[in-house]
Amino acid sequence: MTVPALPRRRARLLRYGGWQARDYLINVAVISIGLFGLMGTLEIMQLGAMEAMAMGNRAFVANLGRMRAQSFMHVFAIYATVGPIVALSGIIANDRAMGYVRFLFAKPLNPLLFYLQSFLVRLAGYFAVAGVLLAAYGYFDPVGDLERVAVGLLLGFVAYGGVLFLASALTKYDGLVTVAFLLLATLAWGKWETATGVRRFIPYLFPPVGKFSDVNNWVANLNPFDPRAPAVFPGKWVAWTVCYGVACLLLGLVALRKRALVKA
Amino acid sequence: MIEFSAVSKTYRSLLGKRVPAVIDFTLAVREGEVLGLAGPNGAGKSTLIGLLLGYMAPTSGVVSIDGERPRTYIERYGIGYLSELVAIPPSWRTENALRRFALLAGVEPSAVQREVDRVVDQLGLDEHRKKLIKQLSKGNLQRVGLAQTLLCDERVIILDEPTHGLDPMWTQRFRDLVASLRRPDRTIVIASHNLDELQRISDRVAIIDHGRLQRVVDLKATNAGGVQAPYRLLVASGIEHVPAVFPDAVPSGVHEFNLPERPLEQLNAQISELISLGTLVVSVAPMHTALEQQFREAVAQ
Repeated sequence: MTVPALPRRRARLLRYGGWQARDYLINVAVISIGLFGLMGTLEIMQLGAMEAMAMGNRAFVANLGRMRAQSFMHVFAIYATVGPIVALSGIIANDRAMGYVRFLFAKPLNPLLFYLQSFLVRLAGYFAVAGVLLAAYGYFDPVGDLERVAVGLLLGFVAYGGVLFLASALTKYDGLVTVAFLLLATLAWGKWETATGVRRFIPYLFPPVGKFSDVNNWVANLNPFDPRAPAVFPGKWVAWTVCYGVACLLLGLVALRKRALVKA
Repeated sequence: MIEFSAVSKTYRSLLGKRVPAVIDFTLAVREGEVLGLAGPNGAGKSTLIGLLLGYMAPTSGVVSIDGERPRTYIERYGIGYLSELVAIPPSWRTENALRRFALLAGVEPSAVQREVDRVVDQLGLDEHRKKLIKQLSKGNLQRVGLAQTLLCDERVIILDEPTHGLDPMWTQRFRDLVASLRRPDRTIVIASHNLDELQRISDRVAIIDHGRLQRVVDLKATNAGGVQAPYRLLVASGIEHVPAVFPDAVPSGVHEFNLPERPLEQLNAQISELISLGTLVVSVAPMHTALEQQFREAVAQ
């Protein structure tokens, strides 16, 4: 008997993106808005309390603009650092640990494309949540240059998100591992950046996350050294950290291809 | 269609200890065939299925589906797969879960609802459509797992413990379903602990133990050849004639006897004699099936 040739099939991955977005909304967006909204509220309340206490003090009023920018920078810095970790936590690890990969990847579906799309959907979700938070924050206090905010958010997502993506491809404790790794990076740069001998090379194993935080100053247009001068974009450190994130993302894709999807 | 060529898989513990799960496994599964995979716990069935799905790579040897590496084949054509543990996010609703799987299976978006309705109807899930996955019983969850396997017209179907958690009615329906899935261009692999089930639905059964293929039982040939096994004889009346015709019969219950194994011709002759003496025979059946017997022998080796 002649068996007809098997027609090639493809998962409707773009359509499935709608379901991924829905999962993000339910599982991440709501809690992110609550969590980061609360932090923003506390920052605004603190600034309000200081204003009330100053009672028109001229020096305070003169410095109010800078203080508002600092407040915004604090909120932005938290979201740009913690937000990608919250947004991407469990992206691969959860499907693996819970066994969801078994049904997913019996379909005509490439895991790399599936998780790359998931990464992009989460990036869009991260921006959408940021939009809601910025709108809410902007109702009470100015939020600064939106273009810089968008660039800062994107850089943070790629830099920290790339590390988390790799961690998620390698371990089920991806969020924890990423936080530990970033803390270690901060410590390594703080302790050994100016060291001599072999130890001075240790920081170069890690992304310079401490220096990357200068992006936050740039977003809020705060120059920590000269209040009157414009903030400088830390191009070198940004390039390094973002390249590190992209490299981790690519390594994560390789790990996804090479590692067993399930354990028997 | 499916080929395992000298496949071995060894796991390594964190301390470097090597644990062989599959050893030098060679087997070809033909198109149109239903192959059963039987073996005790830890025999290597799940590893074999993981290898067949390309979820893990063999340590040595080659696994292929239609001449291609499993992941290549699956990413091009997909397969129907029901895992032993039906893992679907608990917050999904049954119907939505099936819609998602249909999209991923490559069903045309315009046909998704139709295909979902078809499998929901086929597996009697209509009343559970709107339920959350976490609200489903084990049996209903198993049916959802089976439903997602049937969303597309697959050439390869792999079912791992498919009747696990199903009630007797759905177990029977499952057998009918597998019978209806048989097609000359479709290959079905069923891993199960339930030998009776495999005996009923498979063409051949591969028995594995300690990671090795112990034997492949061709059920058509085995059933035709009869079973060399002890029998259980149940009579309604005329019980007093049994010891005369079967001197070696051992009473095992009310009107019930165990008969040591013997050739079928001898058994038939003795039964005829018993009936001619006026005994009403209710049943005479092997105490275990041909497959059970082969399984015992294979695993005991």
